[in-house]
Amino acid sequence: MHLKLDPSSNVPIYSQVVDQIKALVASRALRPGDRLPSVRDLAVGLRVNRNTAARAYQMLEIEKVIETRRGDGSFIAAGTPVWTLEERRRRLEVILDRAVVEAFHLGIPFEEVANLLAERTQRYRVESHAAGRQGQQEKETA
Amino acid sequence: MTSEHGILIEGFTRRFGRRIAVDDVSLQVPRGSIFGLLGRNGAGKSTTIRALMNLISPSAGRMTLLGLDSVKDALRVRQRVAYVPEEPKYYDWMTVEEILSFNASFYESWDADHAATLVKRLEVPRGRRLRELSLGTRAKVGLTMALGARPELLILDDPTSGLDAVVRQEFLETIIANVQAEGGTVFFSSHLIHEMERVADRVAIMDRGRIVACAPLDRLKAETKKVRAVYPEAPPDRFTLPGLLRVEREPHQAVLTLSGCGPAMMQEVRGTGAEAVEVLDLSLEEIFIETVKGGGSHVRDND
Amino acid sequence: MSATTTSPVRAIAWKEWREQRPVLLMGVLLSALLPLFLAAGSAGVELSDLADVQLVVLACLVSPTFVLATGAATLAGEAGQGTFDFLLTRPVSRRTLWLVKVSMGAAVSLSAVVLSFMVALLLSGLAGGSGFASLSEFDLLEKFDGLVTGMIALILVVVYAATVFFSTFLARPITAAGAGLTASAMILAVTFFFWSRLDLDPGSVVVFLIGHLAGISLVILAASLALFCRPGAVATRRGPIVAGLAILASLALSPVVAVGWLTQLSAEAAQLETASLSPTGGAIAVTASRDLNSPRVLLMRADGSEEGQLTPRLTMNPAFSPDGMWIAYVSRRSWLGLAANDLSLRAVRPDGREDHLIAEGIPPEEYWSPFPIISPDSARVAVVSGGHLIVGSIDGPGVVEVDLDRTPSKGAALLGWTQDSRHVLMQSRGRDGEGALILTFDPDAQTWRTLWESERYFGLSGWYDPPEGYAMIPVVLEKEDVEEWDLFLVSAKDGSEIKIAEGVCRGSVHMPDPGTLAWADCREDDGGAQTSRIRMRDLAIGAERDMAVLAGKIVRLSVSPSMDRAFVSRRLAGKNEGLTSSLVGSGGSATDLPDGWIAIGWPGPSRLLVVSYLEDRIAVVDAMTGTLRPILP
Repeated sequence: MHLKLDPSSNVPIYSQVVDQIKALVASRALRPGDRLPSVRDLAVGLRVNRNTAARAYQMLEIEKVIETRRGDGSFIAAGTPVWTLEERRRRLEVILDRAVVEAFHLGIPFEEVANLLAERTQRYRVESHAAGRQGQQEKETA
Repeated sequence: MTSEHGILIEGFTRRFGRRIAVDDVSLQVPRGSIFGLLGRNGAGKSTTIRALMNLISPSAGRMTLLGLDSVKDALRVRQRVAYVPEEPKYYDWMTVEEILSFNASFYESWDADHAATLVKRLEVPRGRRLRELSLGTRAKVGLTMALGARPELLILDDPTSGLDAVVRQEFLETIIANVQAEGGTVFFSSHLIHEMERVADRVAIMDRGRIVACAPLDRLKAETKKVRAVYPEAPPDRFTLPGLLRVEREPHQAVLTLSGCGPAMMQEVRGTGAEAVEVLDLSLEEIFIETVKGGGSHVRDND
Repeated sequence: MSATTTSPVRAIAWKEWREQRPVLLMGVLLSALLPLFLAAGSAGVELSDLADVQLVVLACLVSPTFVLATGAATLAGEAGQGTFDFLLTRPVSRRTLWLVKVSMGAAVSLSAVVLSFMVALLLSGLAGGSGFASLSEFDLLEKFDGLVTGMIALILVVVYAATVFFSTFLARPITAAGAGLTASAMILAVTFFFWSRLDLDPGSVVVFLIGHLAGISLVILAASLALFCRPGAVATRRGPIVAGLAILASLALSPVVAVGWLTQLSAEAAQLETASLSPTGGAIAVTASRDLNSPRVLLMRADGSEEGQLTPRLTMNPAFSPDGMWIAYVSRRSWLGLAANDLSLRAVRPDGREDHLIAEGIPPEEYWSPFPIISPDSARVAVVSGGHLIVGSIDGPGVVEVDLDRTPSKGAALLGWTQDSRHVLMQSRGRDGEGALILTFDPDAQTWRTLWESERYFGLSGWYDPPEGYAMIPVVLEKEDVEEWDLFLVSAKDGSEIKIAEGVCRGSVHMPDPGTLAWADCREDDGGAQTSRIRMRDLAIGAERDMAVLAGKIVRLSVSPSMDRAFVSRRLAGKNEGLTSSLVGSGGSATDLPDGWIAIGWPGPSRLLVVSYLEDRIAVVDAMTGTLRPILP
């Protein structure tokens, strides 16, 4: 599995792993039922601490992105996430709040924030579409 | 009954004549974790590591490895703990084969097949004399000798300095795969901070013989920040903030390097009269540099 | 990779062997090249002679070099390579490490020494020398007899131990080798010094040297092990100081051990010769030696008790002064405590104090050791040795030395002193080697005077050495062309002579006191049987009487102070060799003593002190009963 990790970033590595796997799922590069490398293999392959890999998987498990079957391995979880829309909204709110506070500290007016958000959403839609297509191509050539 | 700690150092002090090389150092390395020791040259890292292996004895304090005393049980320690020093000197006249079987004779837990696998995986030429090998290959031989005994604890003193990027990658993979993956503990010192940032669970920073920071890596990075405070006029002459490591002053701003930086801290910074406050993340390298240059107190935990 | 793993000990031993192999090869090569070097350097010498020289050279020069090289390499070589960190972080104890390294080093150097000897022998054999045959030949054994080989081996052990010790501290083999060599030289010098100073029983010398050197080596090696086993840097700056202290400590220890362990020569183990009885008869001073080596003077009571060593090694021939205050003796000892070429004359009080030099640089006598004779007034002592007469003051300055070659009497023997202590009496052959001569020498005026001369030869007189000096000198002269001897008395004052008797037994003259002369007449009857008649003469009134008649020919006579008993040594018919010693009473009753006893003196009126030249013992004879009781040993 190829993930781009930035050790010097402030985001903990396990968090980066979680985020990137989630991104891969969102972009359908990883589909429900796909087998993931074992914690050990992930650690070795990424050259990260085994605890880091284990923690990442733990997080993913908690967030129901993956499921682990004893003796079998870890797989991308099937089906929709279990959280209610409420719960999902709330999670997103937390992150958005952070962005708003940050904007305040940076002295950026709130109207700008809204524009910025629209811009980012748009860009993401474009990028993930492209990634999805690439992922499909890779699967076909594999 | 296995002990909790991979390594437990309590109040280790080492004097050479009148010079105090290591001053009252204490730290813990939990089993199964990777612990990184950072420090400038001459900070006392090698001294500490050599004392762990009982190459020198403590002037004061105690060291325990896998529950065994570093001095009294030194022999048993060495059966279960592998050590790769900085710039190791081996018997250059021996071939790889010869030094491996020479080394094997000492260890009860030597796994010849495992060692053979490592040699093959690392592409070490068996029949060559050590003196003919490149630095990187010699290092691989050293690593094979260390790992062949399936150690429960691996201690490395700057293992990858002078090695090219390819070898360094192989090193990391091999160590993670063969030690940590088996539940073993790794304790290493290095100047290659990027690598340490990648794999360490906990780090400690050593400066002039003392531990100035010791915490899980994530926490260290989460709580050590640079904060840019913009002031209407000039920044205040003095800042009294806890955990302040450094102040860089400019006409209208001050960049404060702070450890233990949480939301409360932000309030305090505002309290100094700043009209805007920006938080800058620091990489481990930057944290290290700020710490040893600043010399202030730092994030420490005692659990 | 081998499937089986060996033990750490074998692995380390293998490693040591591989690292030290060059030394072995070097040794063999060197012994192969050595004859060539020697041959090149010494043209005109027989090759076969060279071959044996080579072996000696190997022993003395090359062997220590091997030993040094491997000794230095044991620990310093590892430190020099920097591989100690590697070894010390393996799970092997420092003690095991040390033991294997030092043992292997010893094994390699031993092999090197032995192998190079073998090669040398082989090559010398090929070159026409004795080769291996010399191993069984006498001359090689002579060069390498047990003691010498043992000593060489021990010296090599000391060198090895010292070098190993220094290699524990120093990181460079060369420095360790140099330090080891210096230290060994010091140790050997100090050992030598102590050995020469301690008056050891010669039988214990070997034990002492072996024990001392072996002991020191063990202490040094143990120190090396102990110091190596403490954790810490292997080569430290404090090392040389500790090293020096350790060596000094080991040096200090060993003589204590030696002195505690070993004894001086006691009369028990000794061969006793030349005894001197004290004037009161209460004490005996004896020369004691073991196997004729390292003689010394022992002093004891006349019954053999309270024995002690009076003078150091290499001293002999004690003489009590007539007043009993001093004992003069001859010393062969140099200031180093070793045997010197020249002799010196010394004196000491009977309690051992005030031992001082009287004269030194006395040329030695080739076949026997000289006896000092003290003057009757106990003021002076004279001795003749190596053609010189030396007269010195017992307790004060003033030594006179006379080269006898330049004097009227060439090759004179010391007779004694005149009664007034003013002249030394010497006897010799006549001017052209014929006849007999008695001279006096005045040590104050340093003048010679011929006292008496005769055209007849001296017979063998018994020396009886009167403590009161000579007033009358008994002289036995040979009859012309006949094997018979006549007895004369010569006056020490004016040299006038009186004929006493004809046909006396040669050697049978004795004066129990200055006024009495005793001798034996030797008669042979028609049947060829020999008898001796002991006669005594009162010199004052000139009266003579018989004491006893015995069978055989008396060769030695000693009459008791009570004049009623005598000790005789006689040759009996039928016994070709050997003398019969007997105690004779007035009237002729004779009690035979065991063979080989000679009288020393009479400690009391009815006690006789005798020494056995067969058994090196001293005994007291009860003159009344004739029972002989050995007192020493």
